[in-house]
Amino acid sequence: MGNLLINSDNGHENWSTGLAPFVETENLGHRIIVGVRCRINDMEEDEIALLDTGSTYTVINRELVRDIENQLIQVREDQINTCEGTIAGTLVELGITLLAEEGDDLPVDALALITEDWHGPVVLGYRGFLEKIRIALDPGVTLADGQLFYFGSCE
Amino acid sequence: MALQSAFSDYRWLRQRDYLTEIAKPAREQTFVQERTEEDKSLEQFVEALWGTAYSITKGLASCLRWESRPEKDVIVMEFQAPARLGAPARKRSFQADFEWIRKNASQYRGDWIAVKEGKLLGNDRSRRALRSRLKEAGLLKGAAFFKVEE
Repeated sequence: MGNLLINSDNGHENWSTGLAPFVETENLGHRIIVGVRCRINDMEEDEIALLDTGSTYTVINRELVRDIENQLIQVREDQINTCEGTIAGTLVELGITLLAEEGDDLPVDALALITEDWHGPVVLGYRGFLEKIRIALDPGVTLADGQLFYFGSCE
Repeated sequence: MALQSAFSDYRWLRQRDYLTEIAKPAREQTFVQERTEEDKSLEQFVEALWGTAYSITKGLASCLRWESRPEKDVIVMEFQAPARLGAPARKRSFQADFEWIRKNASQYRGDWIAVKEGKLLGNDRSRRALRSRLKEAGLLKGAAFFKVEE
């Protein structure tokens, strides 16, 4: 498995513990998205989620987590401003696991905005999710392996 | 590495499981392995041990120290494990699903779609309806859901 390195006082250390391909979907509407595979809590199905460093929070449609609502820990009501207007919902604590094709899955104790106002795919945003992990995207311009998403914990 | 099979006995497997379990809080781990009669030479033994440690840690652990005690037929390996490891990835390939989405998703604008192993399992305006259908058909586990933009 390919690993990425970080400089530290101890020299070079591997930081990426898992990798998976990602998908670009620029032909679908006006948005170019980077889609990565993840799972919410212990749900049976996977999500192809939009990786979005520009989004304040991870955003999930309420319908999607209806069956696991009793597992979610409510934090507070909140809202974010998006290009489609203000989205209001409930901030909750839940588990989101980035799924690896090589290496190890990365479980993250995440914070997400659960809302009825958002009808798109799961959005993986900065506060409460991306701020907790290390990530890198290899666009695969020169690699036969294609586009790769590397991830690892900051702990 | 062929010699790795010599270490797939219950003692070693137990240590593998142990490492996976404790890797989250632990930063360091020591492996002690006795040499068995199956190991033809010390060199082969060490080579196999390295190979196994590499595969356990997915190449992430930095070996801090190793020590041979030939008189006791014992090898001690001490290495630093990554701070946190989730479950090892099962044999998966996401590429076929992504390829399907790249080529075909535009035909399903506004729908939720579910794909698995490069095939469309179903589509629906309602995520809940699609999920229920797949669950009833026993197809939900491992299916990837994606909302195609309008």
